[in-house]
Formats: sequence, structure tokens, C-alpha cells
Amino acid sequence: MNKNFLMFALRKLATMILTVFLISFVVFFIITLPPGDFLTNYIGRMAEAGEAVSPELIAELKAHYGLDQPFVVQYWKWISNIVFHGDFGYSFLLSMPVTSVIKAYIVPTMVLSLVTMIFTYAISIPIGIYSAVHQYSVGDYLFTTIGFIGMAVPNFLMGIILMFISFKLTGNTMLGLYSPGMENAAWSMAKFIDLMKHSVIPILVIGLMNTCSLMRTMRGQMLDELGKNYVMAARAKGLKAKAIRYKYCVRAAMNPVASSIGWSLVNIFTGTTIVAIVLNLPSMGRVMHEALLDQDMYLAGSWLFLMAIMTVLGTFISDLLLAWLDPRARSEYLKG
Amino acid sequence: MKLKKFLALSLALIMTAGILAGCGGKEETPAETPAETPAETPAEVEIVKESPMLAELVAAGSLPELSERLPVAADIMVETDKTPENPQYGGTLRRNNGGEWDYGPFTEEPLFRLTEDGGVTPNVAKGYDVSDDGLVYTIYLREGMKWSDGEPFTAHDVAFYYNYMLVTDFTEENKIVSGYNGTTYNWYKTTDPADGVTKPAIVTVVDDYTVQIQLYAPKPLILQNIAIDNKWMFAPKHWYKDIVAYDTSVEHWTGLSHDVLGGAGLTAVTEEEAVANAAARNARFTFDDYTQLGNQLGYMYWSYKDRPTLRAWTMDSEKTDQTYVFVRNPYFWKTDAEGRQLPYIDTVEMVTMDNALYSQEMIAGNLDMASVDVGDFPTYKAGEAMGDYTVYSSVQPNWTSCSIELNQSYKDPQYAELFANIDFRHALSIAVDRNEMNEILYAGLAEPAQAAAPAGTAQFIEGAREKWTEYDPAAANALLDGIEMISNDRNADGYRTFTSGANAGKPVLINLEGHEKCNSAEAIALMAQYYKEIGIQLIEITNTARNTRQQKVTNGNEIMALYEENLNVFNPYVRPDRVGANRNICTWVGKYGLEHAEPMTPAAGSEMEEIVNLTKELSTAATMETAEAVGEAFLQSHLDNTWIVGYLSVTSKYTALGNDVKNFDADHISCDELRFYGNAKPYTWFMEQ
Repeated sequence: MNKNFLMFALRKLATMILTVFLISFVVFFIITLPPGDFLTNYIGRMAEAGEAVSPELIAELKAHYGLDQPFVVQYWKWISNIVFHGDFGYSFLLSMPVTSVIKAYIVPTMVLSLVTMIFTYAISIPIGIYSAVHQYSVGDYLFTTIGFIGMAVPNFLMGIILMFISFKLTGNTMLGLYSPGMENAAWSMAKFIDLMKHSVIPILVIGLMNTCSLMRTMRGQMLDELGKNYVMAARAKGLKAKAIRYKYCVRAAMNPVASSIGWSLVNIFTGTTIVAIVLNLPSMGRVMHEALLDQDMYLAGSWLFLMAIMTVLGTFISDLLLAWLDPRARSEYLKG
Repeated sequence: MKLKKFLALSLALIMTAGILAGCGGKEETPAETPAETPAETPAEVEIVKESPMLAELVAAGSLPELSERLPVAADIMVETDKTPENPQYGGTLRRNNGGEWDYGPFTEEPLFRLTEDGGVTPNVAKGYDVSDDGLVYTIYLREGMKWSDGEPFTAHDVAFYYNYMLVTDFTEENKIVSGYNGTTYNWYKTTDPADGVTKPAIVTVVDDYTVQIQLYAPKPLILQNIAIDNKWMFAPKHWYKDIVAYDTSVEHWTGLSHDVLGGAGLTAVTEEEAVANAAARNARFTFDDYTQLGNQLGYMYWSYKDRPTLRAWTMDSEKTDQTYVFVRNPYFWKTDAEGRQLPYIDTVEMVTMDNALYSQEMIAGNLDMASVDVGDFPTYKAGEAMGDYTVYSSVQPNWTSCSIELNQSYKDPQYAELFANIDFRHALSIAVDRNEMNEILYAGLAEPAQAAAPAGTAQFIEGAREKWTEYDPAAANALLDGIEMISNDRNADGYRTFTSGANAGKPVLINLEGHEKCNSAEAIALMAQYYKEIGIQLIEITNTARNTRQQKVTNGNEIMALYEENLNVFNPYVRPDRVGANRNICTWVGKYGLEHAEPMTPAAGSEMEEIVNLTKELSTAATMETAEAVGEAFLQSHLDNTWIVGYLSVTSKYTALGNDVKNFDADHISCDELRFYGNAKPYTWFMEQ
């Protein structure tokens, strides 16, 4: 790491902070856009519980939660609490601090996403390479077909189809991450095996949507590289085909893949909403969906905001990774 | 979401169809092997009186003996008529989680339980006396009864709740100040007709097992009101004393000593301290402020693990868990007729998932119980054999499940005038082909009916459900032709127009408020077609959240017309909320229902005035006869005026229940006042092991 690289990183960091700030403003604007606010939710719940709700009470609550104040004041309250106290506000849907909600869901969400991500890369990169090297072979056609099906079928539908197949084969839809009774049991081998069984469908479903596109990217990149002059030159100099392929071509073809790792951060954090609902996964997606529907503004807002931060952070990491991986990109960046 | 629901449902259907077609050879359970020759069993088999799960704990020394956990013998509540033959202990009942207002009532144990005929029966309370003047209610509690953490339950827990959590102050404007959840508990207030002064009841400790409620003026419905609106009229003082705000150095609003008010041993806690103490006790009890703390821990306490209760099962999960586990309360104070401690079932699990998935899980055998949405009825029914469950139906006192409420106090006076015209309401009623609607919306499962009480309920009136239901667009048109303020001829779009006033020349347009979570879109689309035949334009106002709609209703005059699919009327005088001018929760009564701010007086001599006067009369009714008479007058007014135009009614509540769950009584009335499944007493169900 030299001084130039550090300057480059700092410059990126500065723009990143500015971007995040702008995003936070937009996010807060968006969550306050729809008519009504979390109080309408609160009042609705009280009314459902058969309680009297008077207009004075509504006004009183509005003042209490600062909802009668101008947008900018509300925004400042929100963002300053996040920045200075790490306090993301209060979820009215769950009646607890937003940070507690995030804490409760973050572990299963991240584990699920990380496993899926590893699955995605472990499958798609080798297949991509294979397809490129054996272009137009039976194997290539087979993987291409599977790839296109995977890309074309919406993943929640894929989830339902796999559940159906599972039901026909095993008599169980494998909904959720555990069988009835296992969820709250102490950790044991049986519970682990149960978890593994139940993980197959979610990993396949969430994994496949990225796998297929990644497979195609890898294949395309490899094909590009394989046809380049340096390959021919190396071959002419007597290097083995395998050595060229893995030492040079794969490394170059990985660059776009590396740059996409950053964006995957968003998925890792949020999980996949619709799939999570269809497969009943205990990830963040389901709760956030409800938060959006019920205008639980701080929970929904924090979620959107964190998604944005993850995207920005991911891009930052990708930039650094690329600069480190690819000498061409590096020299360009370092020039300023 | 629609697509997803459709797909999930199709899957469930395919699964069912597949199995029905493909596997006729599903193995029959082998016939019971004939019983072995009876050995010399003693004539009387000793009855196991507690769950083996608890017996183990007793044996291990971590739980007191059963006799020490139950109240004194005479005060145990015995569920005589719900005792099954050969019940079995144990098992886990897995069911759908319908949210806090579903799992709460499921395990609810009120002070007094409301009965299906509108009376009350003691539950947590052992009994009561009323003084001759109807002012003093003496309530007897059960000696030796304990909270789920083993602490004694006494009169102090009732008085403490009332005086320090519920009615913490009483202002000059006759308002009850409720310290703990920010709402006003009006039903404890009574007005003395002699001087017109209104004051809340005073609740005091007589002895450890006796509480007294002293009313300011007679209110014969007070126990019903408690049974409906304040069934949890008690709270574990030992658990709350540092998380409720009070100051015993200041005189209480009653002017009585803190000791008789349940305040013995208390000193002072500020609101800030209460919030801090709760958070310090457990991170899960971190709340934004005292209002939230009160609303959650004080009011909706059943969602919080560790809060001692008197219920058969107590929450043992975090609120963020996907499956809520409720474990049996070892100190539950009820037994069956043979002395077995209830409940029979050890654990209840409430599983949260998307609504469309429950039917699949029932069919796959992963759930023991699910509350069935009417739209999913065919799916559930088709899967009965495969999932080894039965779909039961119970009566709901639902007046209607598809109706329109026209706002009698809508802010545009011309529309308000039009809506006040009974011919207009009747035209809207007979313009609709209810049978066709029923087929399209509910696969014929609902009943074409006017908004009125169904058979099987106390308020049923012969003929009321048929009134103005005969489909007759020509007659509807004739009725509208007779209304002067709207035209007989149609505009270019085919609608009638206003003939005069601010809206002159404009089409007669009803904005109907629906919401996403019900059948409204389909129903309103159909209604719009029928209305067009009689020259009335109908547009749906879509509310994505139920709550946005609720807020508009609350405002009183904002909504023009409301699509209502859940009109539950348990009893017109015990709970007149939807038939009288009692609350601002229904649109037909509009702003006249606002008893709180700026009461709007209806025109003298109008039918609406009658409704308002009846409501006032009910609130000061000194005898049961008066209350009953008001109830009947409400029903008559609805019969005469068709305030709510009903089209269809679903009177059954469907429940899918595993065939291994026994002693479920489908013949219970299902409604909020009776606590839905709570009315079927889940603690008397058992699971075949």
C-alpha cells in the first residue's frame, strides 16, 4: 500500500459519506411520503382492540412523537440520533427499539445469505469456466439451459415448485428452517441435520437467481479472455493450456465478478423478501415487508437506509478490490 | 402479493388433488387390537392429577406439590361440564398465529367471563354480591390462588391495578386520567341523575380475598363492562411496583389512604424511573417512554415473557421469534371434575407465516389447528383427509360480511341529505343481485342477507335479514326517480346528477373506502356494476393499510361511505358500539358517534336523534330493564331505517383442527366479546398421545 493508494481510498471514502448523507435525506423523505404515519397504525390497533380514540388523544400523541413538526426537524431528530447515539428510533409495529429488531433478525439473515453466497460462487465460477472452455459442447448447452431457466423463473415460484417436489418425495413441504418441534429444541445433531434438510430449498432458490447470471458472466468473460492475443502469445511460447487458463485468463475474468461481490452485501443484509415470505424464513425480509405496509417509519426507514449504506459500502469495497486485483484499474485510479 | 397468494393456494390445491387421485391406497390405521383379558386391575384406577411434565419437576424438587400450587380446595375452579372422558396430559398444539388479538384471547382469564346470553359468570373471581342500592359490588377472590410465578394473587393486585395503573387521576372536566396506557376508561364512570355529576368508581381492598367496587350511581351493566373492556382488572403488584409511576406521599384522587387502595408498601416512582427500571430489569422491556411502557407491559402484557399471569399457558418466547411458544402455567387454578389440574395440553405454539401458507401446512400435517379465512375454505375442506383434520364451523354474531355504510354526517351537506333519505338506501339495497355476488365472492358459502343479527343469536328478528334484499333494479330506479334532489335522466356516462345546490349537474358519486386486506376490491367492483344500472357511480378508495382507513373513520365526517366486512354485534345493550352512537368507529353514525369532542346534534325529530338519545339513555340506565329496552330500540331502528345496507353475510367461523385434538366444542359462539376461541376453553382440550 503506498501513499497514492491511501489517498485514493480516502477520496472514495469522502464521496461515500456525502452520498450516504444525501441518501438518508431521500430515504426519510420517501418514508414520510404516504398519507398517514405510524400513529394511524397505532390508532388502528387501539380501535381494533375496542378502545375509544378521541381526536384530542391523536393530537396529543402527534405532539408527543414530534409528528406535528416540520419535515426538516423530524429528519434532524432521526439522523442525529443515529449518528450520535446509534439509536435508529422505535418500532411501533413491534413496540421495541429498531436496534433490537435488527439484532434479533441479523444473525439468521446473515448466516443464510453467506451460505447462499458461498454456494453461488462455488457453483457458478467452475461452471462458467467449464462452459467457456468447452463452448458449444453438450455440457455447455446443458448448463446454459439450466442457467436460462434459473434466470427466467421468478425465484419465489421456484421456491413453490421445489416445495411441491419436496412434498411429493418426502411428504413434507420443508417450510421454514426447522421441523415442528425442532425450532425451540436445544442444539443437537438431530437439530443440525434438520436444519441442513430445511436449508436445501432456500439455498437453492436464493442461490440460483445469482448463480445463473454469475455463471453467464463468468462464461462470457472467460470467452473474451481466451480469444485475446496474450493467450496466443503465451501458447506460442510453449505454456501449457491449463496454466494459461487458470493463471491468467481466470484471474482477468474474475474482475467483474469481484466488482459484483460488493453489491451482494445488500442481499446479505436484507435477505430476499418475497422468497423469505413464501418459504417462511426467519430473515429480515418478512418483518421489513410488514414494516413498510404498516408505515412503521423508523423500522422501514432504518432498513432502507441500511440497504443504501450497504450498497455504498459494497461499491467502496469493490473499488478497492478492483484496484488491488487489476493492475490496469489500479494505474488508472492512482493517476487520480 | 396477489400472485403469490394465488400460487400458494394453487399449490395447496394441486397437492390435495394429487394425493386424492394418486393414492387411494393410503394405509388405514390398523384396527384396534382387542383388549387383552383384563387383569385383576383394581376397581378404581388412580387418576393422574397433574401433567407428567410437572410431576417430574415436583419429583426433582424444583416445583411445590400440586396441592400447594392450587387454591384451597373450596376455592378451586372446577370445569364440571367440560370434563372429557379419559383425557390425556401432554402434547404440543401447533396453530396459526393471528397476532396479539388472537393469541391473547386464546388464553385469556377474565375476572368475570361473559356468557353467550349476555350475562356474566365468575372466573378469576369466585363470586360477588351487589348491595340493595346497586352501588356497591363486593367481589370475592380465591384463597391460595397464585400467579404463574408462584406469588399469591390477592385483593391488593386488583386494587393496585385499578388505582395506580388504570385510574390514576380524575380531573375537573370529569375525565379519568389513565396513567398506564393513555386511554380513558369511561365505563367506570357513572353520572348521578340527581346532581348530574360524573365520577369514576372507587375500588378498595376489604381483606386479602375481598375487593369492593363503589359506584357513584347505579350501573347494572358494570360487570358486563368489566367482562368486556377490563377483563384483566388485576395485575401482579409485586412485579409492577418499580415500573409503575406513583407517589404515595401525595393524596390519591379518591382521598382514601393508600393502604386500602392497594398501595401498601409503595413509596414513589417517577415515570422516568419506571422506564429506566423496566429497561434495567430486562433489555426486552426497553420502551420509548412511559406511554409505550404502559401500553405494552401494562396493557398488552400477554406478549411478554416473564410477566406473571393467571392464564393456562404463558408466553415463553421473544416477540421477534417466528414461533411463539406458550408453556403451561404450573399454578393454574382450575381442575376438571375429577380433580385433574388443567390444562391438559402442555405447550401451545403459535406459528407466524404468510396467511396463504397455513392451508399448506395444515394439509402437510405440520399444524394442528388453523383459523380458516372464508376464501380458503374450499382448499381446507379438500385437504381434510390428507391432513387428517376436520373443518368445524361455529356461529359468529356477524350482521354482515359485505356491506356499505353511508355517512349520515358527511361533510358535504348535499350528500348527507341524500344519505339520510331512506329511499336512497333501499334503492342501493335492492339494486344488487346478492346471489350472483355470493357465487362470485364466496363460492356460494355466504348467505344473501340484509345487515341484521343471524339466527342462533339473541338479537335475531324474524324477517330482518330478508328485508329489502329481493333483487329488483326496476324498483330501485323507481325509488331514485322519486328523490327530488337527483335527476331522473342520466348524463353522458349514464349517471344521475344533482339537480340543484353546490353539486348541481355533477354525477351522484359515492366514494367507497375499502382496504387491501379484505375482499373489498372484488366486492366493490361488483357493487359498482349494479349501482351503474340505477345511475349511481361508485368508486373505490383504496387504503393500503387498514389503519389509514381507521383513522379516517375516527375523524367522523371525512369518509363518505365505508365498505364494512366485519360487523360483529354481540349484544346491542352490553356493547352498543356498532349499533348506537357510542363510538367513532362506524361510518353510518358518523360524527354523531363522537361522544368526546364537539358532539354534533342531529336535527330534532330525526331518526338519528333517536339513536343519539337512546345511547345517552343507555349510559345512565339505572336498571337492567331500561338497558334491555334501549337494546331493543336500537335493533328496531336498524330494522326500520336500514342504516347499514348489507349484501352478504358469513355467519360461520371455520376452524381446521387436527383429528387428534379432542374435546373441542364447535358449538361455541365466536366473537371478540366472548374471546373467540377463548369461549371454547382451550385448556379443556386434549391431544391423543
